[in-house]
Amino acid sequence: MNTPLVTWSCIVSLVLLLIVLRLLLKNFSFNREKHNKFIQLGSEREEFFVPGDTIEDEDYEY
Amino acid sequence: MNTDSIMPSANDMCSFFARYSAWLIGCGATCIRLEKNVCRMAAAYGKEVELSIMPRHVHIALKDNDKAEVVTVIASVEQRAVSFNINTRLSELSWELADHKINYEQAKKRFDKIVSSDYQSKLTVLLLVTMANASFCKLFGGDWISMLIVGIATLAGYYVKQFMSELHADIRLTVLVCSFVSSVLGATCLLFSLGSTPEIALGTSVLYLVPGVPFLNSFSDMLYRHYICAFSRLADALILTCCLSIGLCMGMLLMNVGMF
Amino acid sequence: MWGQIFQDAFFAAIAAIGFAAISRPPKPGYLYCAIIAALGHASRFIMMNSQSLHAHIIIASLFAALIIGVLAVFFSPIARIPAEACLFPALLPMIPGIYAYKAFGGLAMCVLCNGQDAFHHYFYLFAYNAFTCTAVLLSMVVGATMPIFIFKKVSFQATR
Repeated sequence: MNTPLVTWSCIVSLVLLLIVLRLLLKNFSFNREKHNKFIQLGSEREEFFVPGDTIEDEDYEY
Repeated sequence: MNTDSIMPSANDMCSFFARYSAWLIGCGATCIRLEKNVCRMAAAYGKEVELSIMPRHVHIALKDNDKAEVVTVIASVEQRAVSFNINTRLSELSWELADHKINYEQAKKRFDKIVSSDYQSKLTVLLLVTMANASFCKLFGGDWISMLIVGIATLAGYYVKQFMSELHADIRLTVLVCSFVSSVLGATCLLFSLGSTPEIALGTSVLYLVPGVPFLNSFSDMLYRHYICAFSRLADALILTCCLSIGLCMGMLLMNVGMF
Repeated sequence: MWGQIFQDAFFAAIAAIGFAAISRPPKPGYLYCAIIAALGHASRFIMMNSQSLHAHIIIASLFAALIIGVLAVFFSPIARIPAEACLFPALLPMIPGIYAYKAFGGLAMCVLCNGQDAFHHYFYLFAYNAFTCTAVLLSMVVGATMPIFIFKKVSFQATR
């Protein structure tokens, strides 16, 4: 087997993988700061909000 | 002009000097610089200071001439990367305090600001190191293709180094891995028979990892007869060079190249 | 010849800036490092490659470091940085890195090889590289520190 070529390709692909992964992770955390998640949980009221609905304060006052 | 309203206590001052020394030595200052800076600050307040500098600790004794008291503090040296920026700004601080341009409280605040605001853009450093190592290849007589390959090898290696230091990996392991990555990539010329100087490309691709500043610091300390610090710094530098060499040898072995 | 000298100075300047960046010099330091390193490295190149001098690397490094040291001591008050903050980065392109790792490579081969002749050969390579590396480093530091010794007042008051 051609060891040098295999080693070389392994290293190149690993480094590229690292760079791509890190770039992706960076963008992901960047999005999270701006609240642009791909998937997120919202409350029912947020999803079925119709302009004109009263905005109720849901916090209980103890 | 002395702007101090109250004289700081010997106790307080000694612990400030200890922190100052721990940072100054930790960011790669020579022993003579540390001695000069601390003695200068102490002299401005009419106090005498004795330092004993160990590889990982600094031992400071501050003698108050007025009250005939002696305070001793031992501080652990900050384990951090070399930073001439902190070195410069702490030296400035020592002169300003010695010349009474700022008072003791201001100096303490300045110190906290200096050690917490040493920021440097990672991408800039990465690109600068890449260019530096590529031009190093040219200095050793490599052709343009070798320069390009060395640039790529350095870029990848230094990127891995930054990544591993973010993970707080051991510096010796980091150097070993980086030199392995760089040497494998630096052997691209040999593998695909590119250019006319493939050996130079392989030889220079790892040179950005040589611990130059510790070597220089160590010999400088030796000239000023701080032998213990000198030998400990030399040992640090030699161990890093050894790790570099192991990574390079592993890379060369796998790429079927001999070093000599 | 002149072209080669300029090329050497130019690439040494880039190398100095890049290697300095690893050890975080203060911002104004970069420019002075580059100038000092270019002059120092070019002078070493001239000493080692000129027909009449043809100096050994150790001697050439000593004198090049001396030039770097003098320049650093006189530039440091202008840039308001300690002499070693622009001196050490400027010396970095001259660090004998290849000798350093070849010494360790020779040592490794000494241990791994079999036979007396092979051992002698690799031990020679180890010793040659290690001694050259140490001597070059020592001569560099001595050369660069001498000006600091001589002009003590200038160099330690640079940041005043």
